[in-house]
Amino acid sequence: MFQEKIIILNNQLTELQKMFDLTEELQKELELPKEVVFNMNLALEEALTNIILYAYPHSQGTIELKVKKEDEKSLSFTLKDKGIAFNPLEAPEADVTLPATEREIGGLGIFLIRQLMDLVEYERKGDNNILKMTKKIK
Amino acid sequence: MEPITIYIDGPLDALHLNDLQENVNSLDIQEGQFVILDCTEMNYISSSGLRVFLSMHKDVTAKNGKLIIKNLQPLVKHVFDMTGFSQIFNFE
Repeated sequence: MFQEKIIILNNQLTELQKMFDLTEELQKELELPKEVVFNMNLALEEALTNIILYAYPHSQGTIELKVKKEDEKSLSFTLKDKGIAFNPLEAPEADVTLPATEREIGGLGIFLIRQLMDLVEYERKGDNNILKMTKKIK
Repeated sequence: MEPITIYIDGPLDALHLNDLQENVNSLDIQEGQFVILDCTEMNYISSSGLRVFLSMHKDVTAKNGKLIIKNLQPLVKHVFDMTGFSQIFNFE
Protein backbone atom coordinates (compact mmCIF):
# COMPACT_ATOMS: atom_id res chain seq x y z
CA MET A 1 0.00 0.00 0.00
CA PHE A 2 1.57 3.26 -1.11
CA GLN A 3 1.75 5.91 1.58
CA GLU A 4 1.43 9.53 0.55
CA LYS A 5 4.76 11.35 0.90
CA ILE A 6 5.39 14.98 1.75
CA ILE A 7 8.67 16.87 1.81
CA ILE A 8 9.33 20.53 2.55
CA LEU A 9 12.02 22.46 0.68
CA ASN A 10 13.49 25.87 1.41
CA ASN A 11 13.89 28.26 -1.49
CA GLN A 12 17.51 27.34 -2.22
CA LEU A 13 18.72 25.35 -5.21
CA THR A 14 20.66 22.95 -2.96
CA GLU A 15 17.29 21.79 -1.63
CA LEU A 16 16.65 20.08 -4.99
CA GLN A 17 18.63 17.16 -3.58
CA LYS A 18 15.66 16.32 -1.34
CA MET A 19 13.49 15.92 -4.44
CA PHE A 20 16.05 13.68 -6.18
CA ASP A 21 16.23 11.55 -3.01
CA LEU A 22 12.44 11.30 -2.97
CA THR A 23 12.18 10.12 -6.58
CA GLU A 24 14.93 7.56 -5.91
CA GLU A 25 12.81 6.26 -3.06
CA LEU A 26 9.77 6.12 -5.36
CA GLN A 27 11.78 4.25 -7.97
CA LYS A 28 12.65 1.53 -5.46
CA GLU A 29 9.26 1.32 -3.82
CA LEU A 30 7.22 1.25 -7.03
CA GLU A 31 9.88 -0.37 -9.24
CA LEU A 32 9.57 2.43 -11.73
CA PRO A 33 11.32 2.25 -15.10
CA LYS A 34 14.41 4.42 -15.48
CA GLU A 35 12.74 6.53 -18.14
CA VAL A 36 9.76 7.37 -15.92
CA VAL A 37 12.06 8.51 -13.11
CA PHE A 38 14.22 10.54 -15.49
CA ASN A 39 11.16 12.39 -16.78
CA MET A 40 9.77 12.88 -13.28
CA ASN A 41 13.07 14.35 -12.13
CA LEU A 42 13.17 16.69 -15.08
CA ALA A 43 9.60 17.99 -14.70
CA LEU A 44 10.00 18.39 -10.94
CA GLU A 45 13.36 20.12 -11.24
CA GLU A 46 11.96 22.60 -13.75
CA ALA A 47 8.90 23.35 -11.61
CA LEU A 48 10.86 23.61 -8.36
CA THR A 49 13.66 25.71 -9.84
CA ASN A 50 11.09 28.26 -11.03
CA ILE A 51 9.55 28.49 -7.58
CA ILE A 52 12.91 28.57 -5.78
CA LEU A 53 14.24 31.36 -7.98
CA TYR A 54 11.15 33.53 -8.39
CA ALA A 55 8.38 32.87 -5.86
CA TYR A 56 9.99 34.58 -2.89
CA PRO A 57 12.11 37.49 -4.12
CA HIS A 58 14.42 38.74 -1.36
CA SER A 59 12.92 36.52 1.30
CA GLN A 60 12.98 32.99 2.64
CA GLY A 61 10.11 30.71 1.93
CA THR A 62 9.15 27.07 1.75
CA ILE A 63 7.71 24.75 -0.86
CA GLU A 64 5.73 21.64 -0.08
CA LEU A 65 5.94 18.66 -2.41
CA LYS A 66 3.33 15.96 -1.99
CA VAL A 67 3.34 12.67 -3.87
CA LYS A 68 0.16 10.67 -4.05
CA LYS A 69 -1.00 7.64 -5.95
CA GLU A 70 -4.05 8.75 -7.91
CA ASP A 71 -4.90 5.25 -9.10
CA GLU A 72 -3.05 2.06 -10.04
CA LYS A 73 -1.52 3.73 -13.07
CA SER A 74 -0.64 7.25 -12.04
CA LEU A 75 1.17 9.39 -9.48
CA SER A 76 0.47 13.01 -8.73
CA PHE A 77 3.00 15.59 -7.56
CA THR A 78 1.56 18.66 -5.90
CA LEU A 79 3.74 21.71 -5.26
CA LYS A 80 2.47 24.31 -2.86
CA ASP A 81 4.12 27.64 -2.04
CA LYS A 82 3.08 30.93 -0.49
CA GLY A 83 5.05 33.08 -2.90
CA ILE A 84 3.84 35.68 -5.35
CA ALA A 85 0.90 34.49 -7.45
CA PHE A 86 2.17 32.84 -10.60
CA ASN A 87 0.31 30.59 -12.99
CA PRO A 88 2.97 28.85 -15.09
CA LEU A 89 0.31 27.59 -17.47
CA GLU A 90 -0.36 31.16 -18.56
CA ALA A 91 3.32 32.01 -19.01
CA PRO A 92 4.62 32.15 -22.59
CA GLU A 93 6.18 28.91 -23.74
CA ALA A 94 9.59 28.73 -25.33
CA ASP A 95 9.68 28.60 -29.12
CA VAL A 96 11.72 25.44 -29.64
CA THR A 97 12.12 26.02 -33.36
CA LEU A 98 14.30 29.12 -33.12
CA PRO A 99 17.98 29.05 -34.09
CA ALA A 100 20.72 29.37 -31.44
CA THR A 101 21.19 33.09 -31.81
CA GLU A 102 17.53 33.81 -31.08
CA ARG A 103 17.09 31.20 -28.39
CA GLU A 104 16.05 32.23 -24.93
CA ILE A 105 15.95 29.74 -22.13
CA GLY A 106 12.96 31.29 -20.39
CA GLY A 107 9.80 29.30 -20.91
CA LEU A 108 11.66 26.06 -21.52
CA GLY A 109 10.86 24.75 -18.05
CA ILE A 110 7.10 24.90 -18.46
CA PHE A 111 7.41 23.55 -22.00
CA LEU A 112 9.24 20.49 -20.62
CA ILE A 113 6.75 20.03 -17.77
CA ARG A 114 3.89 19.91 -20.28
CA GLN A 115 5.77 17.46 -22.48
CA LEU A 116 6.72 15.14 -19.64
CA MET A 117 3.63 15.10 -17.46
CA ASP A 118 0.23 13.80 -18.52
CA LEU A 119 -1.83 16.44 -16.72
CA VAL A 120 -0.78 19.82 -15.29
CA GLU A 121 -3.17 21.95 -13.24
CA TYR A 122 -2.70 25.25 -11.43
CA GLU A 123 -4.81 26.81 -8.74
CA ARG A 124 -4.41 29.92 -6.58
CA LYS A 125 -6.03 29.12 -3.27
CA GLY A 126 -5.88 31.82 -0.59
CA ASP A 127 -2.23 32.84 -0.55
CA ASN A 128 -1.02 29.53 -2.02
CA ASN A 129 0.16 28.64 -5.49
CA ILE A 130 -0.79 25.02 -6.10
CA LEU A 131 0.67 23.20 -9.08
CA LYS A 132 -0.47 19.63 -9.54
CA MET A 133 1.25 17.40 -12.07
CA THR A 134 0.05 13.89 -12.82
CA LYS A 135 2.18 11.23 -14.47
CA LYS A 136 1.24 7.79 -15.73
CA ILE A 137 3.68 5.24 -14.37
CA LYS A 138 2.42 2.20 -16.25
CA MET B 1 45.31 23.46 -33.18
CA GLU B 2 44.19 20.65 -30.90
CA PRO B 3 40.54 20.62 -29.91
CA ILE B 4 39.68 20.93 -26.24
CA THR B 5 37.72 17.98 -24.82
CA ILE B 6 35.55 18.39 -21.73
CA TYR B 7 34.25 15.24 -20.02
CA ILE B 8 30.94 15.63 -18.21
CA ASP B 9 30.21 13.13 -15.48
CA GLY B 10 26.91 12.52 -13.66
CA PRO B 11 23.79 14.67 -13.70
CA LEU B 12 23.88 18.18 -15.16
CA ASP B 13 21.13 19.76 -13.08
CA ALA B 14 20.76 23.07 -11.28
CA LEU B 15 22.73 21.57 -8.37
CA HIS B 16 25.79 20.53 -10.35
CA LEU B 17 25.81 23.29 -12.89
CA ASN B 18 28.42 25.44 -11.20
CA ASP B 19 31.12 22.76 -11.48
CA LEU B 20 30.85 22.80 -15.26
CA GLN B 21 30.41 26.56 -15.45
CA GLU B 22 33.61 27.12 -13.44
CA ASN B 23 35.54 24.69 -15.62
CA VAL B 24 34.26 26.35 -18.75
CA ASN B 25 35.08 29.83 -17.49
CA SER B 26 38.67 28.79 -16.79
CA LEU B 27 39.19 27.58 -20.37
CA ASP B 28 41.20 29.70 -22.72
CA ILE B 29 39.44 29.06 -26.01
CA GLN B 30 41.38 30.28 -29.01
CA GLU B 31 40.09 31.75 -32.25
CA GLY B 32 38.88 28.91 -34.46
CA GLN B 33 39.35 26.21 -31.84
CA PHE B 34 37.01 23.22 -31.64
CA VAL B 35 35.54 22.23 -28.28
CA ILE B 36 34.28 18.70 -27.72
CA LEU B 37 31.83 17.87 -24.93
CA ASP B 38 32.12 14.18 -24.18
CA CYS B 39 28.81 13.23 -22.55
CA THR B 40 29.34 9.47 -22.23
CA GLU B 41 28.93 9.65 -18.44
CA MET B 42 26.31 12.40 -18.33
CA ASN B 43 23.14 10.67 -17.17
CA TYR B 44 20.78 13.65 -16.86
CA ILE B 45 20.28 17.20 -18.08
CA SER B 46 17.71 19.89 -17.27
CA SER B 47 17.11 23.32 -18.82
CA SER B 48 19.80 24.71 -16.51
CA GLY B 49 22.30 22.41 -18.20
CA LEU B 50 21.01 23.25 -21.64
CA ARG B 51 21.57 26.91 -20.82
CA VAL B 52 25.29 26.26 -20.22
CA PHE B 53 25.57 24.28 -23.44
CA LEU B 54 23.85 27.06 -25.39
CA SER B 55 26.09 29.76 -23.97
CA MET B 56 29.19 27.67 -24.77
CA HIS B 57 27.88 27.14 -28.29
CA LYS B 58 27.49 30.90 -28.74
CA ASP B 59 30.95 31.65 -27.30
CA VAL B 60 32.76 29.07 -29.42
CA THR B 61 30.87 30.01 -32.57
CA ALA B 62 31.62 33.70 -31.99
CA LYS B 63 35.32 32.75 -32.13
CA ASN B 64 34.75 30.89 -35.41
CA GLY B 65 35.22 27.56 -33.68
CA LYS B 66 32.83 24.67 -33.37
CA LEU B 67 31.21 23.01 -30.37
CA ILE B 68 30.74 19.28 -30.82
CA ILE B 69 28.67 17.08 -28.52
CA LYS B 70 29.67 13.44 -28.31
CA ASN B 71 28.02 10.28 -26.99
CA LEU B 72 24.72 11.46 -25.55
CA GLN B 73 22.83 8.79 -23.60
CA PRO B 74 19.40 8.04 -25.12
CA LEU B 75 17.27 9.67 -22.39
CA VAL B 76 19.44 12.78 -22.48
CA LYS B 77 19.28 12.85 -26.27
CA HIS B 78 15.51 12.81 -25.97
CA VAL B 79 15.65 16.09 -23.98
CA PHE B 80 17.67 17.67 -26.80
CA ASP B 81 15.12 16.39 -29.33
CA MET B 82 12.08 17.62 -27.40
CA THR B 83 13.49 21.10 -26.93
CA GLY B 84 14.71 21.51 -30.49
CA PHE B 85 18.31 21.70 -29.30
CA SER B 86 19.18 18.78 -31.57
CA GLN B 87 18.76 21.20 -34.47
CA ILE B 88 21.17 23.70 -32.94
CA PHE B 89 24.14 21.62 -31.82
CA ASN B 90 26.66 19.58 -33.76
CA PHE B 91 26.75 15.94 -32.73
CA GLU B 92 29.28 13.25 -33.32
